[in-house]
Amino acid sequence: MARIEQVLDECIDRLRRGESIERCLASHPEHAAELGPLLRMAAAVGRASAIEPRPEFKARLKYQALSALQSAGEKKRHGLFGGLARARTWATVAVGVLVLVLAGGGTVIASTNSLPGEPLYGVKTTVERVQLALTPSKVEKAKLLAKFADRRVNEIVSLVTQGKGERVDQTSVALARDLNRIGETLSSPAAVKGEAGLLGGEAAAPPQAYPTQTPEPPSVAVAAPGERGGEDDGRAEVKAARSPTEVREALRKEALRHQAALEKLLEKAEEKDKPAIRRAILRAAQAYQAAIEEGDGPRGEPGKP
Amino acid sequence: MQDEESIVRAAQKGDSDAFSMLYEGHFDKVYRYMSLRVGDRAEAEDMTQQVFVKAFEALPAFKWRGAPFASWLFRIAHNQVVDRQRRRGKQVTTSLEEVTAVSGDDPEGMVETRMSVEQVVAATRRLTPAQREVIGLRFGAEMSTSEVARVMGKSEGAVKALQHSAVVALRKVLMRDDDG
Repeated sequence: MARIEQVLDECIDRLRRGESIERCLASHPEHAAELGPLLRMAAAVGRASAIEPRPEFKARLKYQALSALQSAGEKKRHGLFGGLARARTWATVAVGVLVLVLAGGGTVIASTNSLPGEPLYGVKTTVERVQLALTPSKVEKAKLLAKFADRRVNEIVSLVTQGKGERVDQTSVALARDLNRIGETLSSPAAVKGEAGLLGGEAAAPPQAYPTQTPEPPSVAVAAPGERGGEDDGRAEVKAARSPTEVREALRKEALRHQAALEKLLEKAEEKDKPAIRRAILRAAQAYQAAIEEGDGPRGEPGKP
Repeated sequence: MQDEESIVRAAQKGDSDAFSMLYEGHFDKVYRYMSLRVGDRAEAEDMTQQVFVKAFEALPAFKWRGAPFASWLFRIAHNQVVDRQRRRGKQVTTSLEEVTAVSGDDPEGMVETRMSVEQVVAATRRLTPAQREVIGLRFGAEMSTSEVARVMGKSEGAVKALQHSAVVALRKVLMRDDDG
């Protein structure tokens, strides 16, 4: 005689295939008295367990490529260094000004196309930090950070195509950092207050006089296959945005464009570079999501309709 | 139709269609498993997300050894649940009074009863961790006993014994009006 554990297991499988409890019991009359209540309980548990995930959650997660843990790790690092970074803001400005004075405009312009790991890349990032520090408006800061994020994606594409894939991780972390700062910037009370001010014509112009307004390299590397210019390209919208809401709308398009560009890069890349590109895709998706959602009013509580 | 091994290998090479097939093929089961293990819907979503994050990151290093992809995926899910319990420091338990019993008037008619997942989850908190895992994998993930055994690192006989004791215990908790 088969043991009850064995019979129960067999019948659970049979119920799953559509057989009835009665038929299972008929196959094992010697266990029927004990087996019947257990099978009814198993059937009820099976029915109760047949819950469906929210379709929007499933779709969003698929799109975002499931990056929550990675970003949690990054956030921890940001938490650790965030205070230090703030304390260094003025020192950064001072050093940046010094670099610009000593290096001269030619070096700054030459650094525009530099990539991580190259001698002039430090100049490029210092210039960016100085630009940020000297931009008073939160909206303009967010726009500047979006522009830097676009540069980081361009750099990732260039790094891979130039066989310097080992620098992709470093660059994608910088990309995520720029995007995270957009969310923080837009959600700050000053930005929200500034939105009303901007509508009233208070918009602060970016610091045109400063020699950091270097020519932007063409962003062709980021053009995704089949991508149309114009309405699908968030760059122009970022440039034209005058309020946090408009910046966020532009970011939605930029997120899609960058995602497409990195996925295209992944297709063409050598095997050794693919893991880092995948991580870049994950980091970008998560950081864009956070940048768009942060400060965008209270988020809907997951799991509640 | 592609076999699972070739789909996994394509996904490892960055084929987004293959990754989508793996995702679509397993997402609902991972979510149901998590729902049964953690109970709360928002937390189940969060845990499901973490499982696919880890799976996506680890996929390039995945080595095909003949075991179904689901076994590997649910080992990740299992480890997530274990990590969560470790982080929380102690087991979340439910007193018997917190479990809503199924109507005891008609135990034989229970096959028609619509038990809620909340009732089941509350009842499973009265089980041992191994029993809960078996319930999650067998009824949430709809795995075969051999797959459950592989995920849990136990023999099939041990899984069947755990399944039996779990169903007996669930019935005792949920039908307590009848059995005591």
